[in-house]
This record gives sequence, C-alpha cells and structure tokens, in this order.
Amino acid sequence: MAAAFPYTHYACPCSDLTSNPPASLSKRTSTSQAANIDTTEDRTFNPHDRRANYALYPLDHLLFCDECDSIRCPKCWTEEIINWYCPTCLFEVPSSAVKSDGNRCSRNCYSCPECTAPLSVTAVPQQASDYLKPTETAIEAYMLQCGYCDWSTRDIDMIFNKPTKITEQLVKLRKARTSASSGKDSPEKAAKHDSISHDTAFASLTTFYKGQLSESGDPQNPFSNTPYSSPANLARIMNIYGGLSATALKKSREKPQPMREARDQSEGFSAYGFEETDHEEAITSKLRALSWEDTTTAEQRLSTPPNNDSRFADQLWPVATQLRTRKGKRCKTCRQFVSRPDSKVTHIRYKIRLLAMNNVPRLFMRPLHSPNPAPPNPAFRLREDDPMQAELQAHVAQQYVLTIRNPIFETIKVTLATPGTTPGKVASRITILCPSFPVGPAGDVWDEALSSSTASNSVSNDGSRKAAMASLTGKAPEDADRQPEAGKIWDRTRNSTSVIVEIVPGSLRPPPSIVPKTEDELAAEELDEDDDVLEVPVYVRAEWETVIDADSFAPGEKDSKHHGRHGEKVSKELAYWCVLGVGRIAA
Amino acid sequence: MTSKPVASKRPPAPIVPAVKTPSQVHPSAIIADKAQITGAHTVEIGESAVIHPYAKIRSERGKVVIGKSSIVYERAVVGVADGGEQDITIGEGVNIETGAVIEAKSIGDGSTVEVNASIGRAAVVGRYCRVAALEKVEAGEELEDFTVVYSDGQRRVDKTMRDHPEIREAKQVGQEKSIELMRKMVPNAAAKWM
Repeated sequence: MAAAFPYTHYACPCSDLTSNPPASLSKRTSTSQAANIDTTEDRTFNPHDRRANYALYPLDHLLFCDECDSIRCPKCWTEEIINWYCPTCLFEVPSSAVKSDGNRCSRNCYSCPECTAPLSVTAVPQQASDYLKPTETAIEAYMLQCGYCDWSTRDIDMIFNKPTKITEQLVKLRKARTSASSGKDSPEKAAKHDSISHDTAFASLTTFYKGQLSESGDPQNPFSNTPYSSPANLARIMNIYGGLSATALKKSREKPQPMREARDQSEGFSAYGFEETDHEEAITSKLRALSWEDTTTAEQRLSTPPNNDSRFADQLWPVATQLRTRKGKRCKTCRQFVSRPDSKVTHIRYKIRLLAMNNVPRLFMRPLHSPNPAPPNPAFRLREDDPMQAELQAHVAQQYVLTIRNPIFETIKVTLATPGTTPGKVASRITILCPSFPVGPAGDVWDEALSSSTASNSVSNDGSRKAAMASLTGKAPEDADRQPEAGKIWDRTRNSTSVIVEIVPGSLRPPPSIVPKTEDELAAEELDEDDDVLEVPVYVRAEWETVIDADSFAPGEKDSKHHGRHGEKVSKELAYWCVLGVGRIAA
Repeated sequence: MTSKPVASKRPPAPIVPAVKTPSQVHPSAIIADKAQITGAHTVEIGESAVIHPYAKIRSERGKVVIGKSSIVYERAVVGVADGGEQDITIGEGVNIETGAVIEAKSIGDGSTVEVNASIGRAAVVGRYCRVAALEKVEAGEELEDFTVVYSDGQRRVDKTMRDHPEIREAKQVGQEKSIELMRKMVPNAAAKWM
C-alpha cells in the first residue's frame, strides 16, 4: 500500500495471481472472487487478495527484459556480484583476495569502535621535554584517531611505527597481546582455562571440520558440472589412470564414519562450566568497579572478530571496514543482464540498464474535477495530494482522468480492460469510457519543439474566432465545460493519451437483507484493514509494430519468431495487470 | 509590465541602540566589521581572540568574557536571550563554531562547540570538552572535563586528551596557527569597539 493516493502499482507476470498456474496447482482454492469476469482466459487480478501485495510493485522497482519482452520484478532476476570494493578507499579487491582474506578491507581503512566513524592515521605529538634535545631524531609514532568522537588507539595503548601497513601492525600487536595474556597463566591453569582465543579456536575448528569432510565421504556437490560426477564415469577414469593407493582403497572399503561435531578444546570447542575460575572472577570484580558506559554493547562485540570477547570498552579493537559489492541483475529465464553497472568502482554509470519505465506504458490517475476550490496562489498549497486524500463517498459517481504515457518510439495501440465491479468485499462500479485508443511515440525534445505548431489537438484549427483566441492565449476554449463522452479520448499530447474513467464507490456495509444471514456470512462481510481502499485492477495490453534491423540478430542466427526479412515490420505485444489506487471510501 | 523604479515602501531599518556596549577589547584581538556586539553589560575580548563576521555577542543579560585565543565563528550566538541575569565566561583556546548557540555559564579552556550545537542556560562545560555538531547540552547541565558529547546525546570521556598532555599542547599549537591565518584573512575592525 503506497503512502499517498493516487498510486499505480504494476503486477509482474511471474505470480500466480496474474498468470495461469499449472493444472495440478489450480485445484488449490485461490481467491473466492476469482470469477472469470474479463474476456481473456486469465483470472481477474484481485488487489485485495492477501498475496496481491507480493506481486505488485511501483514502476520504478521493475526492470524489463527485452529478450523475453516482459516485465521483471525483484523475484524474477538473479543478482550476480561483479566486483568487491572498499567504500572508504575505493580500492577494488579481486575476488580471490576476498575468498582468502575475508570481506574486510586490508588496507588501513578502520572505523572507530565507539562511534563507527572512520579512523584517520595521525602523528602522535612529541613530549614537550623532547624539544630540549634537538639533536635526536624525532621518534615516529602514529595512532588511529576518530574524527568524530576523539577515540584513538592510545586509549588501548597502541601506537604504530609507520603510517602505512596498519593491518600488518595491528595483526602483530594483537598476536603479541593474546600470547602475552595466555602466557601469563601457568601450564596447569591453562589446561583448565575455559575459553581459548578466537583465532586459535577458529583455526582448530576449520582443520577439524575439513578433516571430517574428507573422512566421512560426503556426497558430491550435485550442482557442480564436472564431467566426473557420475560414479560410473569416475570409476572409468580412475581405471584408466591407475587405481587408488592402498590406504585410500582400504578407506573406501570401510564403512564411512558419519560426520561428528567437535568435542574438546584441541578441536576448537570450548564449554563453559559452572565453577568460577579466577579468570571470571577478575572480570566480575572489574564489572562491579566500572560503570555502564565502560562495558561494550552487543553491537560493538559483533562488529569485528577481535571484539567478540571484549567486555570492556578499553579492550575494543578498531573495526576494519567491510567491503561492498557491485551487483548486476540477470533475467532468470534468459540469463541476459537487465542491469549491469560499470565494473570500474568510481564510475556510477550503467553499461546496461533496462528499466520498465522506458519500455512499459505508464498509467496515471487524477480526479477530473478537483473537489477543493483551487487556492488563488499555488504556492500556498500545503500538500499536493489534498484532492485525493479526501475520502470518497459511497454511491457518488466520480470521474477520473486516466493518462497513459508511452515511453517507446513507436505508436502503440492500448486496450484497457477492467471488471465492471471491483473484486473484494466492497464492490465499486468502474467504467472506462474509451477502452481502446492509440498513444503517440515518445521522441526527442527537438521533435516536440519543431512540431509545436501542430502538437496540441485540443485547440482546434478551424480558423474561427475561438481558435484564434485560443492560439493567442495558449489555452483551449471552455475547458471546464467539457463533458466526458463515451468512446471519446479526453486529451492527447505527443506521447500520452488521457481517457475518462467513471467510478462509483460501493458502500462499505452491504444493504440490509430480508433473509437473516448465517454467522459465516456475517463474518465474511466483516471488513479487514484496508478493505475500504478503492483499488481498480486494470489489464493493459499494448500493441505496436517495430522494424527489425540487422543489429538485433546475432550474426548467423535465424530467428524463427520473426517471419519477415530484415527491415520488415513485425508486431509486438505487451500485456500486464496494474492496480490503480484511487482513495479510501468513507464509512 | 513596465514601471519606473519607485522608492521601496519597506519600514525603516531598526533603530540602533543608543547605548554603545561597554567593551574591553585587547589590542591584538581580531573582530570583523560585520560582527554584532550588543547589550548593556560589559564585553571583554581577550588577547588574540577572533570574532568572525555575523557572530553575535549579546550582553543584554550579563557580562560576556571571551578568553585568550578563542574563536567565535560566523552566526554563532554568545549570550542569553531572555530570562534572568547571567554572565557568560568563555575560556582560553575555545572554538565556538558556526551557528552554535551558547547560553552557558562557562566554557572551559580548550573546548570545542561544533557547528549548530547549543548549550543551554547556566550549563557548565569543562575543559577540553567537545560538543559535536547539532548536539544539545541541556540547561543547567554540567560537563566534566574531557567529556565528548556526540551522536544524539551520548557522552564519553576523552581519555586520549586526558591522559596525554602533549595532545592538549598540540591542540593549542593548532589553535595558534589558525589564529595567525585568520589574522591575515579577516579584516580587523576592532577599533570600532575599543
């Protein structure tokens, strides 16, 4: 449900509600109001269906695949990572480095653990006493400092020797610290030590599970497309190239062990017991002494692996920035890119960008007569959408102007279809006065400027006095008195056409009936939230003719779809459901 | 529509207060011409202090003292607008950045109040504090030395500043350098108020 009326949502043909499901699924009961009202064999789209919102999107969320000639919604495209980059230093990281080193920047880009602002490498100022010894060279010392909250690595007593290769220095310092803290414990204590450091635990767990995978003979990856995946193939190839070694043969004859989990600290698993160790006592006594601000929040602990075990703010490590990805979107059916950004990180243009807005006729709805008197100065109007926010009165006919705008460069013939009454609990009557009409092509701005003398059809050219006045003042005569007529187009501009739609909102409460209703019927008539919104489902079909030019074929390809030779016209068609949100019906 | 230029019918400019603000301005202070210093109470501006254009110093409700090497940037307002009498003392090396509103009782040495922040009435800000942009310090609040106010009201203690005096000195050195630069860039009209 969009925020402001009027809105138009477009339905992607991928959902059950817009296209025929396979025969086996159609036995499942879908919406009860799905009577075959309209002329096509498809069901009417019920915008009040509980699953309707999953199929409806505003037009700027949709892409268009020109191979398949259809709309693609976010469920119909797959995302593919094009490259990884660091948002701070804009350095593109190759995917091999991402697989080995992880998804964080390894190049001096760190964020403050307290306020997440970027840290900058600053020189540590020298002690004043050093000024008395000018002969000594200045000791180079650097720290990372936050520009926003003034946190610096000196808060954790960390100073760097050089301004570059911060990552290396951090790793060294971290190793030094963790080994120092664990070396302090005597050997017996270390054995009872409940927790092991994060890095050793991670390393032991990875080796353990890798060993388990190879031992247990896990099934091959079914999605891999190696030529050796079938066991017969594998056996044949192995026979050709010699057999397995003796140990491997033995292993394959033995029953493979099922995979088990890690059990003790050598494998990376550490359990927490009930007895208090000195290690924990130190923590609890420190917790009693310090205040709330000195402890870390869960967010801070999760921000980076070195912080996973830190409980106090003075143990927080700088957070390496996470890498971001550039993603391309591919159509699921034909695997063509529908959106492909430039692979260079600093370029924000797209190599391919097929938007639905540029390929699909666009519908707008507005009331014909604005209910509030227009204020004298448009600058004083507080909200643009005031006319539509007023609630609609039941049983009062309203007229709306429905404008279709054509984005493509050919004239399209548009046919609109809508059920006579809206599906759902509240039945409003809809009538489109002119359901079938052409819409002109979109052209360049120059085309419009050059042909401005013959553009507007609303001003008649019949040489009468009215027409002369109209051309002088630029307005059509007597706009306000025009009556909408059935079968006539309301307005036409170069690339858009408007028609009138008459809507009679239904009442929210059904008329009282003579026969007393059963409980089920009464329950069915209860209105849920948003059932009072008047939404009109419209089936739009656009037909046009294009000229096939040589470029659209791959060389040597014979396209059986198009019967004609190059240069001949072929007719194309695009059809989709869309839902026009008109307003809420007053109770 | 053509028309002859006509004298505008706007009301006359607001009347300049008859009383000139009593001020003690140090000869090395830099006060821009468009700075506004108004009010009946004394205004003291210390050595090498810089008052940028359109900064407003209001001493209507009380004395205003601006310490040595402090900088008051454009459109900052130092002074209580209404209510009872209250003096304001700004310490040495303090930066009051653009658009900040200061109604505090005192701001300690070396503090920085960043862009569009506001400090309420009778608040006391300690030394070497930092109030980040758009933050608010409520009326009557007292900030300890080395407090950082950031991120929508969070507070923390700036240990780097607290534990390392050389960093405080570095800040002072930086402040002196900025003032030297401003001496060249801001045309000095301090004579107007001396």
